[in-house]
Order: sequence, then structure tokens, then C-alpha cells
Amino acid sequence: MIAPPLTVERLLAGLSARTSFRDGVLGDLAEEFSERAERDGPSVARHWYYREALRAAPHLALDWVRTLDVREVRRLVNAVFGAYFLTLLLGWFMMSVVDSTMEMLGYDAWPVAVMHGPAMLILSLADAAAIGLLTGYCGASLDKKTPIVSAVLLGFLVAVPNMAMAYAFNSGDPFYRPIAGILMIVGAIAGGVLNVRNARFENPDDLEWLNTHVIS
Amino acid sequence: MATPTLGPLELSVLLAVLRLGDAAHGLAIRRDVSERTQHDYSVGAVYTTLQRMEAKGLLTSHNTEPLPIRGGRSRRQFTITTSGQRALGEAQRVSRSVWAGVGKTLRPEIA
Repeated sequence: MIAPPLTVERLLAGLSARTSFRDGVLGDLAEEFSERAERDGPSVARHWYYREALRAAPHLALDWVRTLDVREVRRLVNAVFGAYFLTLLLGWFMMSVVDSTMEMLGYDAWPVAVMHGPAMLILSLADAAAIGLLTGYCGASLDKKTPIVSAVLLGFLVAVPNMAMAYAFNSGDPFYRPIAGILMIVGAIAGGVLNVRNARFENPDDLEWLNTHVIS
Repeated sequence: MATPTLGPLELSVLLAVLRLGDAAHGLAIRRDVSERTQHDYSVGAVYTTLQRMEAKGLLTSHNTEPLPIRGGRSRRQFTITTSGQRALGEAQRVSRSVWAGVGKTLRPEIA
């Protein structure tokens, strides 16, 4: 028996909190993957799994949206805003450390402030992606039930005000504004994926999964 | 109570559940429907339809024992209800009614 790609399976599980629908879909995918892997080989089966995972993802997310209740919304709001403020705190702490270290070494803390042109643009875009990555990772860390949903919501939470402010104050390169927003959202999703990929086996379902797949 | 109208996928899924009997679980239903309609339905699409029909009272479901091949998850076994059978009967009646008299005029290559 061959196990389906664990990261993809976890990403799918992170899209929906409802057990019956999610387990039905994931169970069917795992069962058919195992059959295909034995019949056509693991590589062909993996390709099939990736394709089916993409097709199943919107259904899982929509099913979760359809069954949202007050308790679930409250849980999600707590996780998202908790991660948002945690990221702000982390960002502020990191900037303070860099600032004071540079000052102690006798350098100008932010030489980038005088940078212009493409260098500044590239640095700003990298900064936007890093902010997204950090928020997405934090969001997924605080929400073990639907980590990818939290990561996506956080991506929008940081990107939308950022873009709105850039447009409102007409600040930054016109090219920078939309790209930075997109990079923040993509970064947040990547942060969520990274977290899910690196997550330890804390969930009893995961342990059950390991027992059945790795030991057998 | 009015009999619910069935969409094309709902009709195919309901017929598959009826046909498969005790073996009517998600994977078997999807295979049956995909094979007969020659359309590769996604797992999510079939489950969304099953879920919707369960909410309408056309189907009931229960979980089997967890299976290693499914990563320790159960299979969800579906059974058609009386209301589901009534909806199928109605769909058949409507289908017969709208097709009535067309067979004679349909060209052989299309039929």
C-alpha cells in the first residue's frame, strides 16, 4: 500500500473543518491513489492525485463556508487577528534589533532610505513577500484546524490596507502597488503551505495515518 | 410534500446509489457515474451532490469501520430513502412524458 503525498493531503485537510465531508473526499482520494499506484506506478498516481486535489480544493473550501457558524467564525477571527498582531510585534522586534545593532556598529541603520530606482523597488517587493510569508506562517501556526484558510485571510488582511494606503497617499512606484499586494497574498499562502509542510504530528488523525501507511 | 426536482448529476448519482445497493459508497458512486455518463466527475463534485441530496432527504448515510487503505478513515455508505425513490419515479415519469413521440421522428444516426 502506497501513501498519497502527505503535504498535499494536509493542505486539503487545512481547507475544511467539517469532518464528514472532508474525510469522505480525502478517504476516496487516498483509496483511489493507492489503487492507481499499484496499477500504474507511484509517479502516474501522484500526478493524478495533484490534479484531483486541485479539483477537490474549491469543493472543500465551499463546503466549509456553507457550514460556517458563529463559533467557527469566532475561532477564525481570533486566529487571524492573533496572528496579525503577532506578526506586527515580530516585525517591530526584528526592526528594532537590526536598528540597534547597526547603530552599535556605527552604521546608518536604514541606508535603503536613500536608495532609489530599481534597487529600491526590488527591495520593497522582497519586503512585501517576506511580510506575507511571515503572516501566513504565523496564521497557520495559530490555526491548526484550517491553517490554509487563515493564511489566505491574513494575506488579504495585510495586502488590502497596504494597497489602499499606497493608492490613497499616492506613495510608492505605480508598478509597486498592485504587485506588492499580490506578493503579500502569495507570500501568505506560501507561509501557510510551509507551516503545514513542517507541522509536527500533533493530530491523532495524523498518528493514525502514519500507523496505517508507514508501518504497514 | 412536493417531490424535489433532480438535476442531471443528482439523477445519475441517485440511480448509482440504487444500482450499487450495499456497495454505494463515495468512490464506487463516482466510478459508476463517470463510467455511465462518460464524464470524469471530481471527488468533490460527487460529494457535494451527495451532501445536498442528503440535506434534501433523498439519501441517508452512515460510516463504516475505518480502513487502512483510506488512511484510517471510514467509508461513507449511502442509502436511498422513500423520498429519493419517489423523486426518481417522478423523474422517470417526466422523462417518458417529454420523450413521448420523439423516437419515431429521431434520425437513426442520432438515436
